[in-house]
Amino acid sequence: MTSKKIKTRIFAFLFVILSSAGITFQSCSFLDIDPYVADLFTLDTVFAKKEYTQKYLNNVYSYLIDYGSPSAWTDNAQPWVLISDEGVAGYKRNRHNYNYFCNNEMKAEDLDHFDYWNYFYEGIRKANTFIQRVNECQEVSALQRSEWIGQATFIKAMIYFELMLAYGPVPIVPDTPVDFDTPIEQMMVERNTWDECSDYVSALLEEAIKLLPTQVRDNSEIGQAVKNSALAVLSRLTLYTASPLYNGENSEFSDFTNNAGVPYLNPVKDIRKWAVAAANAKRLVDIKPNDLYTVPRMENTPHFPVPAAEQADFPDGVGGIDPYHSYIDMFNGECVLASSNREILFSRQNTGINGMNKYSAPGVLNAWNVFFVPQVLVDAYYMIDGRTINNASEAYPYEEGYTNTDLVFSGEKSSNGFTLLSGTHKWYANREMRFYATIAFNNSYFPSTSTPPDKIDQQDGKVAKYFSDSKSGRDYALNRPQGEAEEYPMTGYLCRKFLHYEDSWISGGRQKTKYCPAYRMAEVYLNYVEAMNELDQSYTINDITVTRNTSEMKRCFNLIRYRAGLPGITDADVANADKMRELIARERQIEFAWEGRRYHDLRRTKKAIIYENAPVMGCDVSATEAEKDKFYNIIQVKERDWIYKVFTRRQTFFPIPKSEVDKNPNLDQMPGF
Amino acid sequence: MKKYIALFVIFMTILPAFALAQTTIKVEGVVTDANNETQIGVNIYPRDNPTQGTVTNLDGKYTIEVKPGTTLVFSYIGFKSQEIKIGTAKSQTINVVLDTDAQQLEEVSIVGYSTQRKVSVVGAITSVKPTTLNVGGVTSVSNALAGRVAGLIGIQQSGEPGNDVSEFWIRGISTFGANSSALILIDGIDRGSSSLNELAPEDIESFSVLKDATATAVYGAKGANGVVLINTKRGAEGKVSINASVKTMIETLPRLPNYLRAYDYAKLANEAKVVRGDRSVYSPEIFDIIKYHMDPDLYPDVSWQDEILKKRTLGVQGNINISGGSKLARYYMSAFYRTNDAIYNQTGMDRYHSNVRRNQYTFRSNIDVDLTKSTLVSLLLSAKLVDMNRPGMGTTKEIWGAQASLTPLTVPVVYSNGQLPAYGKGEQTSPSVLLNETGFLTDRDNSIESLLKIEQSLDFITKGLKVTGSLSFDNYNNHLTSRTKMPDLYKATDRNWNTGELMTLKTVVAQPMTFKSTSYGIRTIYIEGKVEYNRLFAEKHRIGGLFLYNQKDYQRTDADGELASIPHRNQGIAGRLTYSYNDIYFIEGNFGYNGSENFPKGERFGFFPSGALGYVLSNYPLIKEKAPFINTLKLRYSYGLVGNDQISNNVRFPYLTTVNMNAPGYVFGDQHQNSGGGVTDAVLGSTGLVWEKAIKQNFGIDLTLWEALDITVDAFIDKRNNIFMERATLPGTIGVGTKPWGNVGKMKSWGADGTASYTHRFGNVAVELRGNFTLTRDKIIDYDEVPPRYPYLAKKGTSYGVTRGLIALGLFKDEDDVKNSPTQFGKVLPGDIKYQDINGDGRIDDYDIAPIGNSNVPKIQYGFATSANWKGFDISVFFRGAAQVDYFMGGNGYYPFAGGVTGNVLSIVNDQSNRWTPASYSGDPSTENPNARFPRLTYGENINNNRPSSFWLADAGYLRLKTLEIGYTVPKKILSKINMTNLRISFLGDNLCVWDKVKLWDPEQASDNGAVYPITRSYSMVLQVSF
Repeated sequence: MTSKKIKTRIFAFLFVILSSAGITFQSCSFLDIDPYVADLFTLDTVFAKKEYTQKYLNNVYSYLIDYGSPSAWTDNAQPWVLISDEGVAGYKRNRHNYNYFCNNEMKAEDLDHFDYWNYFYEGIRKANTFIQRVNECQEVSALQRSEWIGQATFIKAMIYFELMLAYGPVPIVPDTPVDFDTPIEQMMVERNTWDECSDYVSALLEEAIKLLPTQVRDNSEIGQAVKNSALAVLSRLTLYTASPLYNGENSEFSDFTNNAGVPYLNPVKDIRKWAVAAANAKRLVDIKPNDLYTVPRMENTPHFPVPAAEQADFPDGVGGIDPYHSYIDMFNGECVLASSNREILFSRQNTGINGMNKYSAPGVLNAWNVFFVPQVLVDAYYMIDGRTINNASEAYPYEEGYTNTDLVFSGEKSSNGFTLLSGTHKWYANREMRFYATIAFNNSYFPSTSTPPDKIDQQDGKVAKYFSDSKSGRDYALNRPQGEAEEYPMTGYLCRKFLHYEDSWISGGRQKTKYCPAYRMAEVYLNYVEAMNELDQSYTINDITVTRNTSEMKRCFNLIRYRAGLPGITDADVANADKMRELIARERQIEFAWEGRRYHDLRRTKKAIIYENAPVMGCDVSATEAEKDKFYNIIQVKERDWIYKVFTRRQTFFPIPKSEVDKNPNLDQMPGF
Repeated sequence: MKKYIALFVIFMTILPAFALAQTTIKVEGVVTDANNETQIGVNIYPRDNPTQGTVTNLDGKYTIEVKPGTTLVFSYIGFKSQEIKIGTAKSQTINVVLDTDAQQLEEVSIVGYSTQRKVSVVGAITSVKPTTLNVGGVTSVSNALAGRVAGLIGIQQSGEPGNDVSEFWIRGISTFGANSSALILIDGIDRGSSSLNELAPEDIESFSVLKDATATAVYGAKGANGVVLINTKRGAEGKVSINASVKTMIETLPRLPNYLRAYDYAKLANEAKVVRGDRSVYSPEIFDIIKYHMDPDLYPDVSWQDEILKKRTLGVQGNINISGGSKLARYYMSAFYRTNDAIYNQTGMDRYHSNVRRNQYTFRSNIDVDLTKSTLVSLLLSAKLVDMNRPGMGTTKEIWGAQASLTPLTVPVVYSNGQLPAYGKGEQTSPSVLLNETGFLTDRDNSIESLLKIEQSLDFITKGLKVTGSLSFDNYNNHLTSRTKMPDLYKATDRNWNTGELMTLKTVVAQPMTFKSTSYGIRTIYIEGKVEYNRLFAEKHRIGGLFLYNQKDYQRTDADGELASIPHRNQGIAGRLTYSYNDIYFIEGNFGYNGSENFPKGERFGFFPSGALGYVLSNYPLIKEKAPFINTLKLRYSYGLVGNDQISNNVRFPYLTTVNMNAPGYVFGDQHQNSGGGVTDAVLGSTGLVWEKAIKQNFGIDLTLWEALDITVDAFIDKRNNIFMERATLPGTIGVGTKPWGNVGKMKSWGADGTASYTHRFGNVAVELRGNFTLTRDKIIDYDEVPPRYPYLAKKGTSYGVTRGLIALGLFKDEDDVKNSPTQFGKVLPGDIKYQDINGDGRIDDYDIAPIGNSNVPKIQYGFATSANWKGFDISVFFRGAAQVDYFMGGNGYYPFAGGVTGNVLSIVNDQSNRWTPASYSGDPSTENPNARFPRLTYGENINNNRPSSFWLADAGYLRLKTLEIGYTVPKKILSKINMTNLRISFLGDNLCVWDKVKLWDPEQASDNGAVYPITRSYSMVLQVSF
C-alpha cells in the first residue's frame, strides 16, 4: 500500500465519520417543533393577556341561549313559544320540528334542532376552563378577575338552568374540566335529582351575586351580568323549584328514579320552598320596589276606565304614562336599553329576534307569516276596563260587527302610534293595551315606515289581511313562485310584539336593531306574589322573613296592571289564594306572551295537561275577502293535519339524545322515550 | 492520475470511444468454463480502455485488436474475472478458462437498508424479477404488481392516462387507521407511490416486498404496513452496452355500459310512470316523433358515448439506456419517454391542445466511482417532467357522470340552428361542450430525485466492516394553469308549430377565457449513516451486523395552516444482528428506534424490536446425501413489533390544544357598540398519544426440488393496536365540541401467501410455470363506537370495510304479500323489493342493516403465468384474479329512471326477463317475474327499492387474461454480424379477456353505475435492441 493510497483512504473514512458526527450533532433538536409553534396562540397566551381573556369570556357568553328569539328560528334557542299553547307553527319539517313535539312524535334518536345537550355541556366546560385559568391573567386587577369569575359562574348557572328547563334533572359535572385519559367509566355521570340541581345552581348564583358588580361601569358594558341579573335568575329558579311539579305533585313520575331508587323529582311537598322563592324575589323587590319601564303619557294616550283612585300617577295608578308604549317599547327596539331602564335585569344585545320576526310578521311586509298566535291567547287578554271577554261591560262591550272609523292612539298613524282601522272586527276593539302590542289580528295596520313608497303592496297596502285571497293569505302562499305552502296565518293571528313600526322586509326596507329583555322586574314582582300566595305561615330564609303579606301582594301585582293601563286587583281577590293563583297565571300568560315563560308555567303548575290538550282554535282563513263574515267563525284549525297539540307525561321534558344515552349507560332516559 | 482521467472519460462516455489509429495486435481465442463448455457473451476489454471491448460469439470465440502490453480483462457474470497481459507478438491466440465465482453466484436478496445472501434470509420477503413485471401497455408499474407479487393485493379503478395506476396493500388492509399503504423505498429513499408509478420499468434492477416484522422492524415506526424496496440499475464493469426499446400501443375500451336509445328509453319511461299509476311521459304522437327521429332538436336520439369517445387511442413509450464502466467507475444512464392520450373524441379543439394527454420524460444517471480501492462513491440522479392536458371544465368525473346520466332524449349535441344546448334547470352542460368548448388546463409536474452515497470498506480495521454515508434530496413541483371559458348555451323551449322554427332561451351567457394558475412544491431531505459488518469465522460461524442513523425532513408549500406547515420529520436508529451456523441455523434480531415530530416531547421515540429463526434442513450433509433432489428446505419464523406513525391524514400534533381566534363572540353595549370577538380552544389536545403498533408473526417454508420446482409459503398474523381514531364514545357531558383523538382501535389480520414456480426444458422448448396467491382475513377487535342497539350493527367483530345493507328477500308477489309484510319505505307495490325484518320490530329501517358482503378490496388475489421459449420464439401468458370482493350497484344510470329526467337506462332493462312488469300493464302474467333483476319500474326516486341491499350486491371477483406476449429474438449469430447483441420484437396484448359476474363494466373498478373511465384493453408492439 502506498502512502498516497492510505492517505486517500483515511481522508474518505474521516469524511464519512465527520458527516455522521455532523448529523448527530444536529439531531438533538431535529424533531423539536418549538420554533414553529412558540409564537402560536395557545391557551397559555390567551390567559396571559387581558384582551384575549376577555375574548375567551365573550365566547363563554356566546353559549347563552338567545332568549329574545324564543324559538328554534335561530340556531341556539329552544322553541318554548311554539311548543306551548301560546304559539303555533305552520311547518313540520327539517329544523322546524316544533310540531313533532306538539304531536308527541318526538324521537330521541332524531332530535335535530332540539338537541342542545352537548352544546350546553360544551359551554359549561368552557366556563369551567375560564374560571380555572383566569387568574393567570396578571394584566388586570384582582377585582377585575373576580368580576370575570362572577360572570363565568353566572353563565355556567344559566346554562345549567337551561338544561334543567329542557331535560329536567340533569347530571352535574365536575368543576374541573375532565381529562380525556380519565377512565371512560368515570365519565359516565348520572342525572342528579332536580333538587340537587336546583341547590347546585342556586349556590353558583349566590357565588356570582358575591362577585358581580352592582352596576356596569358604562353603557358599553350593558349586557354583562350584574348582581341583579343573578338575583333574577335565582328568583325564577327557586320559584320553579317550589312549584307543584318539582315539589310534591308528581306521582306520575314515581318511576323516574335513579339506580338507588331516589326519585328525580321531590315527591313530598315542602312549603318552605315557596318561602325560599319568596325570599329570593324579595331580595330584588327590596332593592327595586317599583321599577317598571314606563313612557310618559302622550297627547293621544287613550282614556283608561279605571276607578278614580287608580287614576293616580304610576306606580299608584295608571296616570302619567302611556301604557301601550310603556310595554311594547321594551321589546321592539324603540327603548334603547340604558342603565336608566331599570326594569331590565339581564338582556342579550345581539339577539336573533329579527330573524324570528320574519317568520311571524305578515306577508304584506314580505315576511313569511308562518308562526301564529292561537285563539286561546287572543281571548286571554282583558278588555280595556279589566274585564274578561266573557264578562264584558256594556260600556266596553265584546261584540260582533265591524268598526267604522280609524282609531289612532299613542302616537301617529304614520309612525309610532297604533291604528285600529275601520272595518276591523269589534272583537278587537276595546281591548287592553298589551293586546294591541302583541296580537296582529286580521286587518292590522303596520306603519312599516322603512318600506320605500313605490314598493308598498299594491293590493293590501300596509294592512295585514289574512283572507285567503289577501297578500298575507293562503292562496298567495300556495301560488307564489318562492316560499312554502305553509306560510300563511292558519289561525288568523300573528304576533307583533317584537316588531318596530319601521320594520319591513320589502326590498329597501329594514328592521330596527333590538335587544332582548331576558329577565325583567315585572317577572320578579309576579314571582314574589305567586310565592307569597302559597305561604301558610311566616318563614325566615337567610335573615329574610317572608309571609303571606296581602298588601305587598296587591301592590306588586298592581304594578303590572297599572303599567298596562288596567284597574288593579282588589283586597277580596288577594284574600282568596285560589283566585290569586288564577289571576297570577293569566297575568303571566298575557304579560309574558311569546317570551317563553308559558311553556314552563304550564308544566310546573301541572296545567299543561289542560291547555296543551285543547284543540287549536282560530278564524276560518279559507274565507275570501268577499266572504268577510265567514272569516270570523272561530273553528278548530285544520289547515294542516299536524296543527294540533297533545300533552302526555313524556312531554314534560325533552328526551336526552339517544346517542348520548347509548354512550352512557348510567344516564337515564326521560320515561316514555 | 489515470484514475481521474478515467473518471472524466466516464462522465463523457455517451460518446462512443473509437480506437485511435495505432499499431495494434490481434488477439483471438476461445473462452470456456471449467467443464470445457464454450461461453457466449463473455466481455473482453482492455483494462485501460473498457469501451473498446468485445464479446465472445456463439462458439465462444473472440477476436480483439489491442495495443501491445495491454492487460485484457475477461469478465462474465457468475465467473471470476481474469486479467491477462498481452505480449508484443503481432498475433496471438489466448484461450481462457473461467472459474466460477462462488461469491458472485450466490444469490443476493435485498433486505432493509442492506443485502443478504439468499440463504440467510429469514424474513418474509418476496423478490420479483423485474423482467417478469411485464407492465403490459403503456401504464404504471403498480398495475403489474397484483397477481405477480405474493402477499400483495391491488386494485385499479381507472384507465385514464395519469390515473391508470393501482392502489395496493401488502397482505391486505390491516388497519382502519389513516394509513394502510406500504412504505415505498426507491434506492433506499422513501419516495412514495407516485414515484413508483412514474418509474421507467427498464430502470428497475430489483423489486422486493418486505412483509413480516423481521424484515420491516428496521423501519420502526414506518414499517407496519410492509415495505416495497426498489433499486434502480447500476453500471457494471465491462464494455458499453446500449439498450433501447420502443413500445407502441393501441388502446380500446373493452367494456362500456350499454344504454338504451331514445325509442326504447321513452317506452320504458312510460312504463315506469304508468305502472305506478301516473300519466305516461310521452304521448303516442310524441312517440312517433321519437321513433322516426322527426324532431332532432326537441326529441333527439343521442348516444353520448359515441359522441365523446373515440374507438381507439394511441400511446408510445420509449427507453434508451447506456451502461458500462471500468474497474474504477461504472455508469448507468437512461432516458425514458411515455405519452398517452385519453380516448375522448375532441373536435375542433386542436387550437387549444386540450386533449387529455399525458407526457412523461425521465432522465436517470447512476454513477459509481471507486475513489480508492476501498471507497465507493455513488451518485444517483433522476429528473422527471410530467405534462398533463385536460379540458377546461370537464373533469373525468363530470364527463363520465354525464355519460351515465344524460339520456338520449335530453338534448342534441348541437341544435339544428347551431346553438349549443344546456339542460337541467338550464345551467347543466353536455359532456360534448365540456370537452370541446371550455378551454383547457395544463398540469405540470417536475421533480428531481438525488442520492449521494459514500461507502468505505474498513477491512483494514477489521475484515468485513464497512461504513456508508448517504445524502438525498428530492424536489417536486406542480404547476396548474387553467384557461377556461364558456360558450353561450341555450335551452330549447318549444317549436313554433306554424313556422317550425325552434324556440330557444339563452340560459348560460358566454364567458371569455380566464386564466388562473396555482403551484406548490415538496422538498425532502434524507440523511443516513450506516455501519455494516459481515464475516465468516472458521468456515461455520457467520456474523453480520448493521447499525444506522437516519433522519428525514419533508416540507410542502401548500399547507393550509400554521400547524400543517410544520415540516414532517423523522429521526431514528436501526440495527440488525445476524448469526448463522454452518448455513443450517440462523438467528436474526432487528430493531428500529425512531421518532417523529408529531408526538409530544419525551414521547417521540418508539422502540420496535423483532427476532427471527431460520432452519435450513437441506444443508444437513445427511439430507444432501440421502435426498439430493431437495435443493432447499428452509423453515422460518419471525415475531416482532412494527409501528405506523402516520396516524392521520390531516390531524397533526393532536396533543396540542389549538386556539380559534375567530370563535363566536358576544355583543355588549346599549348601542350594541361593543361587539367583543371570541377566542376559544378549537381543538383540545389529547395526552398519551402514540403511533399505531403492529405485532406481527410469520411462519414460512421455502422448498426447492429437482432444481426446477420452487415453492414458498408464508402464514401470518398481524395484531394492530393503538389505531388512532376519534373518540366517538366520549359522552357529551364532558363538554368537548370537537372529538378528541385516541389510540383506541384494534384490528387483527391473518392469512397466507405463497409462490410456486416450475421450470423445465423439453428438448428445444423451455417452459416456465409460475403462480402465486394471497389470502387475507381480518377482524376489527376494538372500535370506539357506541354499542349499537343490535349486535349486527357494530363495527367491532366484523371485517374491515364489510358491505352493509338490507337483506332482500326478493320481490313482493302481490298485494297480500305487501300487506302481510313489515312496513317498508313509502308506498310499496307488488314487484318492489321485499326486505328482511332482522330485528323483528315489524318495520324495515336502519336497524335492519346488516353485514351482507365482503369489502370492495379483494380478500384473495392470485395470479399465474406461463412462458415458453423455442428457438428464439417466446410466448408468455399471465392471468390475474381476485375473489371475495363485493360492492353495491346503484345510482343514476343503474337504477332505471331514478333521477327522473336524468339517468340513462341500461339496455339490459329492456329485456323483459330482467324486469318485473305488472300483468295489468303487459297483459302477460309471466312478466311478473319473481327473479327479475330490476323491480317494478319507477319514474323518479324510489325510496324503497333504491337503497343498498343484497338485491343490488355485486360480486366483483374476476379472472383476467392480463397479458399475452409473443416475441421473437433474432439469433446472436446474425446479430453479431451487425454488431448488435440483442434484437427482439414482440406483440403484447393487455387485459384481453375478463371472466366475472359484473359484466356491465370492469369488475375491478367496483363502480356502482359505470360512470368511470374504464380499464382499457391494449395491443402493443415492442422493439428492443441492444448493442
